[in-house]
Amino acid sequence: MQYSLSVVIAAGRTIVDGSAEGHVWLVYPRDESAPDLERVEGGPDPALTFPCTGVHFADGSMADDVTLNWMVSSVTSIPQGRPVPVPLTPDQAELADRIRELVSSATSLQGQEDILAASFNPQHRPLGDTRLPDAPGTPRDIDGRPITVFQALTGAYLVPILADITGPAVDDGVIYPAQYGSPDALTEGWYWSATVDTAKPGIHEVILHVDIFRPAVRDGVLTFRPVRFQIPTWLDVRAVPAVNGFTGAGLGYLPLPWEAPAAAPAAATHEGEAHA
Amino acid sequence: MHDVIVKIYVDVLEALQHGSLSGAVFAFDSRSYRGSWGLGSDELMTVVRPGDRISWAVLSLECEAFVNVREMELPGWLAVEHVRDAQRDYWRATVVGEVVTARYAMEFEIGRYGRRMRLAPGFGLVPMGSPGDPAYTDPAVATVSATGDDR
Repeated sequence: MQYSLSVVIAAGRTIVDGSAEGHVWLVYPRDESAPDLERVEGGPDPALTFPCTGVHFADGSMADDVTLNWMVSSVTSIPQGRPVPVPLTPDQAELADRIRELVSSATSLQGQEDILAASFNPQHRPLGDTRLPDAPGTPRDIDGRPITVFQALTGAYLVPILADITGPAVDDGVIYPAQYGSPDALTEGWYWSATVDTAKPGIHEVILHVDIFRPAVRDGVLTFRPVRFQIPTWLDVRAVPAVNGFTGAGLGYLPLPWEAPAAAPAAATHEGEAHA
Repeated sequence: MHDVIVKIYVDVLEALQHGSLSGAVFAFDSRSYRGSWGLGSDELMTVVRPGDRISWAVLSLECEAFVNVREMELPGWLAVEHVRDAQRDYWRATVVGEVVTARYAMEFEIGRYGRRMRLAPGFGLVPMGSPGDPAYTDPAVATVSATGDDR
């Protein structure tokens, strides 16, 4: 069985805060049978714990594969491949005040001096309205509007990229992750998937390494650089006994009732059919 | 004009299996830092203000499953448009009047046969300055500090 895990990140806020903590949600089909986890100090975050249920044979060994597929997106990223690209230039005007504070202290945003020198001009317009010179390569949104540096400052419309999966779950052989390529245009061909050893029950930590794009200015041209964030998530691995899906009981032959085969109809004739 | 994004994730398989959107809708918006609440649920309340342009993006948890927005029932202080051309198909609305707290309904097309399902009352829109807003200040309360920390 395959499970899809959607990881939703508030990318803009992650860039501004320098950390993804508090800005990540896990979205997955609800499993009513999975018990709710309690929040324990220093323990896994129940909101970022995925209940992964497998099936086992009577001797406890794994009966079937469980495959996980991670789909990472941000709140403002453009859904890939679908006929619904939206003008996802997010509202960042209120963040301008916070950005100005951070920029003036120049400690929370590392390496932003090049952006400040290229774009921040306090004598003319507020940071939120600053635009790059209309040089070739000016990035524009779906509606053709130039993307302001402020909007680009958080690179919020670009899709975050899942770059790696590590952690105790990988080290302990609970999951075997790998990046796969596929012709599927919806994921632009790359996605992370893992098979799960559900014979190892328990809560295991999975660290997602996600690249979120942040703008940089080089010679007046806006480019985007990935900034890597580590996002701890957890897998709550459990297994239930494998049962016969028809009977709900143990595995084995299906208990079909035996019927004598029906007698061949004597009087029936078949049109157009030659009999030997 | 400021853009607000509402991103809706739909568990299409769950919706088709049970014939309803209950427990199958997870919504987010780009205004969480100004007090939007209900993120990750089917009762998202988005903070908006006059001049905002709200865009709705919907996608399925399973990339092979189809979901789209067919109809939206929005309050009258929004100018609504359904943008459709060869490359785009989405709904957006501009706040042209005073923002009054309101819930709105959406009708989705679920699955390859476009089964119609309605989410109501569903999501809502609230004015800026809601109690969840970090910058919330109430001028009537004299003890509120300049930074709005007290609320």
